[in-house]
Formats: sequence, structure tokens, C-alpha cells
Amino acid sequence: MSGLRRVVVVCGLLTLAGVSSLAQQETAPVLQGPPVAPAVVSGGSVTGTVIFADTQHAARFAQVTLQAVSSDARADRGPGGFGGGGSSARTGLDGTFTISNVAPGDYYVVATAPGYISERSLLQAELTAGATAADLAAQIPTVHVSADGSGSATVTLQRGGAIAGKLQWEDGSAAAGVQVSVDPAVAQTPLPQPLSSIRGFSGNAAVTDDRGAFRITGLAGGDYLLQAVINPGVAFGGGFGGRGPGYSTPVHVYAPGVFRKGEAKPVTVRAGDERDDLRMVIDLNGLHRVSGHVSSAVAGANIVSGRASLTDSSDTSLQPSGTINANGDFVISYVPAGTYTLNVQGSTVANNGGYRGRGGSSSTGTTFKTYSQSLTVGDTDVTGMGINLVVASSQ
Amino acid sequence: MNMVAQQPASATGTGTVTGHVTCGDTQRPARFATVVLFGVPAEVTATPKVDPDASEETQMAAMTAALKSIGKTNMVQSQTGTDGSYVATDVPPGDYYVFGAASGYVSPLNQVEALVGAGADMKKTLPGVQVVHVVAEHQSAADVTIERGAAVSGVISWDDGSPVTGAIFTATPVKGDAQPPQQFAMLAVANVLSGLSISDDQGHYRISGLPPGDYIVSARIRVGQQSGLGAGMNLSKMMANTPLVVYAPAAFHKSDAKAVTLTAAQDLRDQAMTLNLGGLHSVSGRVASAVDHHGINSATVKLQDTVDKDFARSASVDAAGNFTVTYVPPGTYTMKVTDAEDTEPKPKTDKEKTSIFGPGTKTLRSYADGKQSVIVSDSDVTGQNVELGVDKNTKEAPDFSKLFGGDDDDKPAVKLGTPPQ
Repeated sequence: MSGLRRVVVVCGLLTLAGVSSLAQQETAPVLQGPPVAPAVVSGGSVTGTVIFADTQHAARFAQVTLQAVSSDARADRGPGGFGGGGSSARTGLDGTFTISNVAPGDYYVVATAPGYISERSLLQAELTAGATAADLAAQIPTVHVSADGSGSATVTLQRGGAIAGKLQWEDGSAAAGVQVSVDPAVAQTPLPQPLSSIRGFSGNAAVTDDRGAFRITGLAGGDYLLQAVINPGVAFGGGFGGRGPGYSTPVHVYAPGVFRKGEAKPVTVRAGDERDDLRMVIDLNGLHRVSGHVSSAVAGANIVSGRASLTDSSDTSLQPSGTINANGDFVISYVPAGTYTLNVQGSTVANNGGYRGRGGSSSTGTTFKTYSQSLTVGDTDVTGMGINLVVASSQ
Repeated sequence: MNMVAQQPASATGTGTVTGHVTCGDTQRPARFATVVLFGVPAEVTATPKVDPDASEETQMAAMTAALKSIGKTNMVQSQTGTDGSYVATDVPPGDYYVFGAASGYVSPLNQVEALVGAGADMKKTLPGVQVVHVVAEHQSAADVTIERGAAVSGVISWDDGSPVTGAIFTATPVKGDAQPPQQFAMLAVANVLSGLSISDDQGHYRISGLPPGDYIVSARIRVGQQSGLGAGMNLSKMMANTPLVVYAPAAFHKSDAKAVTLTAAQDLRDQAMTLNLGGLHSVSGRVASAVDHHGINSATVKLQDTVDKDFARSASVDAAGNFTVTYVPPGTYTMKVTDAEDTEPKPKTDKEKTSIFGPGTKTLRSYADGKQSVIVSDSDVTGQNVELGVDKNTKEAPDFSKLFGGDDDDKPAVKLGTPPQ
């Protein structure tokens, strides 16, 4: 991969153009014989209206997507969309939409608007609350499109609940630019086919603003766990494609400020409710680092990549980890006190090559056994761990 | 917690940079702030201004040149911990500008733009920006202070008072055509979301991290009628789907916008914006062949305001050659029809059945561009029919793959024959 190409990908400036050129390169057009009259793409059109249930207003510029009901129809849908997505459109000022050139078939009409519950979320919430698959299927607007006919559908969106508030550090300053998300507190029953193919609106995440404020909306009624995710080591060194100093996994903090999911306090929201008073305090001061060096039992074979990970013995949702760098050192940052299993997987092959003459080794390397031990983290950092990896017996 | 438990390891031939990032307003450590070590460019060249109406070749050449200079960028990114300290390893030897970036603080790109705006000589070391000299196998230190930016916030509503959601807000400096040299373009990556806000479900927006100055706040609202990939991937169709831009407090033309003045770290609130599309109209018509009058199924129609060169609305034609340009304010426009082609879907290969992009379309025949004048006053304009002659050469879509190095997966371009008349 050339450096220039990588830069472009990093930029994201021209990815659209790139995507298009890839699509165009797939088959080189070869014109054989005289062209016939231009083909008019056959298919029907779908019209409809999207309405907000609470205000009875038209949903202006809401996104509407047609998704094939049967998975078979996807292959025939014509030029595809992203992962089961079909044609989409936005409603106009009056809440109406038209989608043309729709291949014949049956479609779900999926509409989304900020603040309103996506159809997928609604189905999911009702299923978890005990609704049957038949109840669910009857709720979602569908439309049938014949070869040259048209279909129409009205979608009514329900106002969702909102969870909003402020994120602070323990010293009272705003935790700005931190990713916040909510997830249902209870395990969700998977949606049955074909409803499971309906895409959701991933509106359950936000980033705190410069004052630490966040707002997540469009939630179906239920209990939610609110979590903040801090990326402690998004670092890359040596220019693009460089090796990086080794980094740790994100720190997950659950409301009201705990590190184990099991200790999180759920937030209850009813549809249309505003919970805008949440205050979450993040205190990373009580956390520690676990660090050490990984070597191999084979003479001359140095461990230059891999991962050291901890799994909490009381709550497996807590799994801090860190990468092993080219010197064989690892650091796991922000580890809460507790009893863990430490697993270390190492390799003599560098992780990534990059460019500018720092290519990875081309050797296949030796396979080492995963090292495992119990580790208790108390009220201090754990440093200077020496870990020696032995060759896997299967070799 | 001690951030540097052991000497951080840098690869052979590279150095290490350590330091602290401090918030200028609170004098507290900047937690989890981004640190950007930006290689001092060996030379600086002005970012070329490319006329959007220039030929594809000219635009491609400019983009290629810009990407080449970006490709020379030496940039290392790191992040601070809770105590504001950072370590950057594997830094190739050389001189680097040290920037800090955090939500609400003036971003590295904005810092450079402000320097350009203030008339700094970009060929010399940037005034006020810390420079660190990196030596192989050595550790250098560089502390940096980030400055609190100003913020502007408010609510955007429809004329009936209901909130406008999902509008993308930006604040542009009034005296702002000060483009940094193209060698600094990669700084934009350091803090992508800086200076951007999307209105929430209540229509609330908040743009922060702005250097002091006069700004025009604008919102982009996506009003595209049909999008997505359902009808085949077509770049010009996607480009025609332009958002509607509204300038604060309620203008469609930039010259009617009311600028806001922001002082350092000011928090300017309650800047209400109203969006009233009631006075806007649509312009519709049909694009057809001058030879046999059949509707042309691929073309871009652009209405360019004759007074305000920043204002244009565009649309693409449907399968029958019909088009509707939506939300056009009263005014005099030049209507341009470009990229007119008869196309048909390419046959699907097995590979493409599973590809997310689909096969796209094949051009059968290209048409000459068309142009006519359109006046929009107090009602929708219909019947704007344009007939186009066949272009001598069937044009290929611009080959954007050239921008991507084009060294390892280029296929020879296949030329289309001249279509028979």
C-alpha cells in the first residue's frame, strides 16, 4: 500500500470518489455493436407519508428506506445497497416521500427521525416485553411493489425517551469529547427472521460537548445502562503506518461511576420521557497500571507483538488489555483493584509493516502457548512482571 | 499515577517526545487531549484555488498535487493521560510543531488559519507555536498550552416553531479566505469534529473551540429527494444531491447573513435560527435528445444564481429525463445541464452480486452541455425543457483511481467506440 493511498484513506476526503472508481473498475465497459435505445430501468415507485405521533405534524426531511422483506429478494434487488439496505429518500416539507425505480417485491418501510423511536428499537422493546412475532410483523409498515405498479405506505413515528446530562471528572471539570452510549439493561431477545434484517437507527450514542453535556434520544421505554468510553491510548507513532508505542483498550465507565457492568445502576425511561438531569462522575485516580516484559523461551526469538489482557474474576465485562510493543514491553492502563486472570499472547512477527522502511518481518514466526496466571491488583501499580512464553506443543 | 513507568521504547533511528498539555483557561492538565507532532514542512506552497467549473483535468491535477504534498506530511499523534502528560514514540528525527487538541479548545488547524489570517509569514517558523527538535535514540520534551475557544449556540426552528433536527452547523470566519499552505492540510485530521455541530432532536446546536473573530453561522439541511445506491452508484447523481444551506439568522444568500462577533472564550448563547421554506419554489423540466427527443436518463441540472456566485441548487434527472430542482429562492439563474448521458445498468457478474456497490452503469452516448436562463419569482417554474445534441466523444467518467497512486491495481482503460448516429 503506497503512503499516498493510506493518507487518502485517513483523510476520508475522497473516499466517495474512491468507492465510485472501484465500482467503475469492476467491469470495464466494452461496447459491442450499435447501442439500442437507452434502457429505462423498470420497477415501481413507492410513495407515502411520515407522521410524528405526538404532534401529528409531518416529519420533515426524515430518512425513509425500503428494505426487502425476504432475504431472497435482496439478490434480485438490482444494484445493491449497503448490507441489505435498499433505496432511500427523504421526506419533503409535507412529510411525503417518493422512491422510484424500485425492483418488484415486498419491502419494509423504515423511517427514522432524531428523537423518535426507530422501528427496529420499537420491535425489539416489544419483543423483550413479551410480544409475539406475529404481533410484531403486523406493526411494521410494508409495501408491495409490482413490476410497473406502485405502492404506498404511511409511517407513524413514536416520540422516544431521552437520557441527557453532564459528564464530569472527579475534580468537577467537564469531561468533554467523551463518547457516551446507552444499552438496554436486560438481555434482548433476538428478533426473528425476517424482522431481524430491519436496520436500526444507531442513535444510542453521543459525544459530550465542550461543557461535558450529552443527549441521547429516540429510546423505547425500558431500563438502560449508561456508559462512557474513554480511549486512553489512541496513539500512532512514526508517521502514518508507524508502529505505535503500544496502547490500552478503552476504559468503560458505567453510571453512576463504576467500572463493572454488574455494579451499574440502570436508568429507567418511559417512551417520551425526558431524563435530562443525569450527572456522571469519572474518577480514574483509584486505577492502576499493570506492566511488564514478555520474552520467549527460544533463544534469539524476541516477542515483538501481541496482547496482554486481564479478565476480572467477578465480572467478565471488565477486560482491560494492552498491546506488546517491539521491545516486548506491555502496559495495561486504568485497571480497577480486583482479582484477575492475566492472559498473554505473544508473537515474534511484528504487527504491521507501514512504510518508510519499517516493514514487518516476513518470517512466519513461532507459535507460543498463551500464558495465563492469576493476578490481584490492590492499591498500587503492578510493575516489572517478567513473562516467559513457551512454544506451543502442537508445533 | 506515573505515566512513564519505564523508558518508552522507540524503534531504532527514531526519537521520543514527552511533555504535558495544559488548559490555558483553568491551568489544569488537559485530560485525554490529542497531541500532534507536525513535521515542520520543508517548503510551503499556497493551496491552489480551483474553480469548480474548471475542466475535470484541471481539477484532477490540483487534487493530485494537493495529495502529493499531503503525502510528504510527517505527523505523529499521541494522547495525554489524566495528568495531562504524553509520550510519543517512534518519531522520525527532525523539527516538529507541537499542537494540542481537545473539545472546546482552539484546534491546531484553526490556530494555523488564525496565523495565516493575521498575516504571519508561513515560510518562517510559525509564531507562538512550540517547536521540538527530535534526535534519534533521544528523548525531547515539549509542553504545550491549549487555548479555550469561543462557543456559539442556539436553536434552529421551522417557521411553525418545531425543531429542525440533524442540520449540520459550521461557523466560517467573515474575513476568512485565509487558506493555510497545503502542507498543513493534514492538521484537519487531528480534530475532525472541531467547529462542527449537528442539531439535536430539539433543534439545539453548539459550535465550540472557535478562535476570536467575526463569524457567519450556517446550517446545511439534507433535502435530497432520493439517495442511496438502489438505482446504481452514480457519482454525479450523488453530487447533485446538495444540501440546502441556511445562514443565520434566516438567509439563503450569504450576503444577507448577519455575522456574530466572538471574543476569546466567549460563550454566546440563544442564537436562534429560523428556516422558512415557504417562499421557495421548484424548477422542473425535461432533458431530451435533440435528435429523437427521447428523455436522457443521466444528467445533472444546476441552477446558478447570477448575482450570488456562492448560491446554486442542483438535481439529477430521472429515468425519463425529468428533473425537479427543489427549494429555489426567487432570483435570476443560469440553468446548466452537464454530464448528460444515455446509460444502462451494467450486467452483473457473480462477484458483483455480493459486492456492496453493485455494477454501476455503462455509458452508451454522451451529450453536449446545455445552458439557459431561468427567472424564479413567486411560483413554481415548470416546463424548463432542454434538448441536447450528441457529443462527438463519449466521455468516460473521471478516473479518480489516478488519485490513489494508481500503481498496483489500475486496469487499462477501455475506450468506448464512437456510437453510431
